[in-house]
Amino acid sequence: MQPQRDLRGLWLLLPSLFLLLFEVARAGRPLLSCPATCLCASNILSCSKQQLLNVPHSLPGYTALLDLSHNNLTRLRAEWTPTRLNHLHSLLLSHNQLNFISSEAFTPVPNLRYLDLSSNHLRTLDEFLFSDLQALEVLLLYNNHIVVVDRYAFDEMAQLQKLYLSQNQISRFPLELVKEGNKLPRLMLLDLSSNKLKKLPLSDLQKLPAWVKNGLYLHNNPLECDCKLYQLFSHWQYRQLSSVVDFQEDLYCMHSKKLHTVFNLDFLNCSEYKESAWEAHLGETLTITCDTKLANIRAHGSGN
Amino acid sequence: MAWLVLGALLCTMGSGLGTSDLEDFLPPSAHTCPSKCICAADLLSCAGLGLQTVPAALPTAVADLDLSHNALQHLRPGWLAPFSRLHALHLGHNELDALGRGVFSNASGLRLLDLSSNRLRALGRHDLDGLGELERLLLFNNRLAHLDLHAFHGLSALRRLYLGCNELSSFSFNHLHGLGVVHLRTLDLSSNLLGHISIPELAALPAFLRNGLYLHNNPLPCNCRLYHLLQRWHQQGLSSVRDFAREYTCLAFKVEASRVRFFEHSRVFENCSAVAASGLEWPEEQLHTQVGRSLRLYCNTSAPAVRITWVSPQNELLVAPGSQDGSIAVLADGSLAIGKVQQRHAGIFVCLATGPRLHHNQTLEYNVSVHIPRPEPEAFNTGFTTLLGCVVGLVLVLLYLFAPPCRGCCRSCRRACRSRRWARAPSPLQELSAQSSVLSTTPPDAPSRKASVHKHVVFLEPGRRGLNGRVQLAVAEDFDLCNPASLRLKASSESASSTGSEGFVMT
Repeated sequence: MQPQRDLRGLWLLLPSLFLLLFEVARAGRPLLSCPATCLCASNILSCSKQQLLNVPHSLPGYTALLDLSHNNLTRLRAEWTPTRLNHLHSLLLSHNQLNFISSEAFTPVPNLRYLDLSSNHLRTLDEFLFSDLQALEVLLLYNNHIVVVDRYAFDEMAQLQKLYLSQNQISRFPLELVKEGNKLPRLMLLDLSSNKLKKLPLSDLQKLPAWVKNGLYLHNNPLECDCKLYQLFSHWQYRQLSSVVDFQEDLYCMHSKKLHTVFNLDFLNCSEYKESAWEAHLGETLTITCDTKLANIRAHGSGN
Repeated sequence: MAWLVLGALLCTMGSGLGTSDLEDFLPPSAHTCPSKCICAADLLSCAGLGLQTVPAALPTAVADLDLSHNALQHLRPGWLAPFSRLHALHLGHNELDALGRGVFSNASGLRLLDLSSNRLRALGRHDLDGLGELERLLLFNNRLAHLDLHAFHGLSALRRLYLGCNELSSFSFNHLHGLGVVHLRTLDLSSNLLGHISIPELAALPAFLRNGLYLHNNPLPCNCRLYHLLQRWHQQGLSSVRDFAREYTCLAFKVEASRVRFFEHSRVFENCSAVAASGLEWPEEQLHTQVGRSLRLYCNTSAPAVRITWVSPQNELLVAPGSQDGSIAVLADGSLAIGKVQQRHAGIFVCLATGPRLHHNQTLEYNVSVHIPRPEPEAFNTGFTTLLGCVVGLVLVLLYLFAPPCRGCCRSCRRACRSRRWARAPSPLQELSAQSSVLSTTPPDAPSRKASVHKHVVFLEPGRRGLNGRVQLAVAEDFDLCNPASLRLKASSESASSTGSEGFVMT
């Protein structure tokens, strides 16, 4: 046990510790600021329409809004940004050619609130694809080539308020997104218009609260004509729900390869729609809940 | 006959048009959706279509309208009248060179307006009328050189204003061109042509706005007062300065090309004295309090105010009756009362006072520091006892290492030996006698330190000399530890009983 030997070891250890700390401190500070292909207005990075094939390198850590729309991106890899972008609230990737999104693509952006992936070439939404985005409020996926939506694709997105899936090839109604006891408690808008939905879980839809039905867009789908369908949408129309009132002309169904408006299915001899009345007997207690289409949670604007 | 054939043909054609294979069904676009635009529930995207005018029949229930990346040059006043639910309007990347009076007048619910990357040269007094609920206004990357003094009046809810990458050569920080200061958190004036900034006006801005005030990449004159102000903001950790420190430039000489990054090359401010820094900023009143105590803040305006609004360190707007969580109350006289101060109440409280007797809205800041109350003063500081324990332990360890005789630690012995050798002549070891089995307690005429070297009892392994298991010992009055090889041993039966039977090998 030579004291001399111990000191020597210590002298070797201390400088290496200092070097390590120095490197760590250096890594924290952003060395480069605005990427060459982007326009930087403080924390907004506008890199749209630059014919980009890849995400620019060295995105600054203070970025709050990143606009990469109208480019030629095809893949969103796991390390698309090596630096964590903790302040990123909005990510705009519309009008690209994205056909692949890594399952770890959203790990560096945990505080994202608005994600625009519309007008791309996405085909499937894999399980847990968006599960890292626990603060996301608005997700735009319209105008892609989506055929399959995994049941767990939107798991853990407790803050999701608006989900746009229109203009795709979806044939299965994702009931798990709106059903009671669901994982998306704040979802007030689910746009499934212009897809390939044929069958709807009508009895389950009937039971949904009005504020969910108000934001459930199902128009422009090849739905199967059915008296129940007529009853459902007539009720929604009576309640002046936006999803029906705003798109009345586009709510149709298919019968014998013909398009029919969902509000006139006389050829099926459906009984005329009548708003159901409450029935009660003398002395009974009757509870009527106010099923309003106004959501208790007001949706705030996207991003900050 | 020909008519019959024609009629039959038409009938078959008609039925043919009516059928559509279910498998190849392609939903026709929504009736109300303009051609080439994409309608997704309450979103309407007509981006990147090369439009020169706004399409005529847009669905009126739209909430988010995207007309970016087109070639729009003019907007009709009142064109937003049918869109009562509109809350976001994207007009970026177009060719708008002027707005016009009341262009957005019917968009009272609008929250986001993106006019970035256009060709706007100026903002008139009434261009942004009617946007009372607007929260974010993006005007970056235009050619704005002139802002009317009241260009932003009416934008009382504005939180973020981006004016970067324009050609502004001046900006009124005093009046903020009519902006409501209460909600404003981001004011981006980066990458402009700001050559002159009024330092006192800048210093008078409320704390919550300073953090979001971006002034980098402007040709500011290299000015001691400016440097001191920004240096202070940098020290305060304001992100608008910290994140962009490298981009802060000033003109060393009156020539455009003489821009210096003054946070990196601060030599240009070598001659600035620290004295210039004092008196720059509005004095912040410093308040110290402890957790659990109550606190009362009065907005000490120069004249009585009609209305007082506060902003908490958590950026919460405080009006009567108080904060959302109930911990802070706003009283009738406009003062702030915190019943039980918590750590989260620490920071800068800003009060905004308005009134007829005040020439302009006055803002005052109160820097509240919250200390955790110290417990009863202890009889002794436990920290010191811990330190003492460590030191004692260390000393004991060192003693253990260096004090007892062991070959490895013989350095000290050798030292003693060396000095002893010179002091006295070594006595013969052979002088052993039965009497000397009893150790003499009186050391010879040598200092006690050397006595320890001289008086030693050495026990040898039993059975070494075949003495029936009796322990041999050698006692020497004068024993040279430094030269153990010269040790001669003699068995002493008398001493065996008095000593222990433990074997101790002298190596």
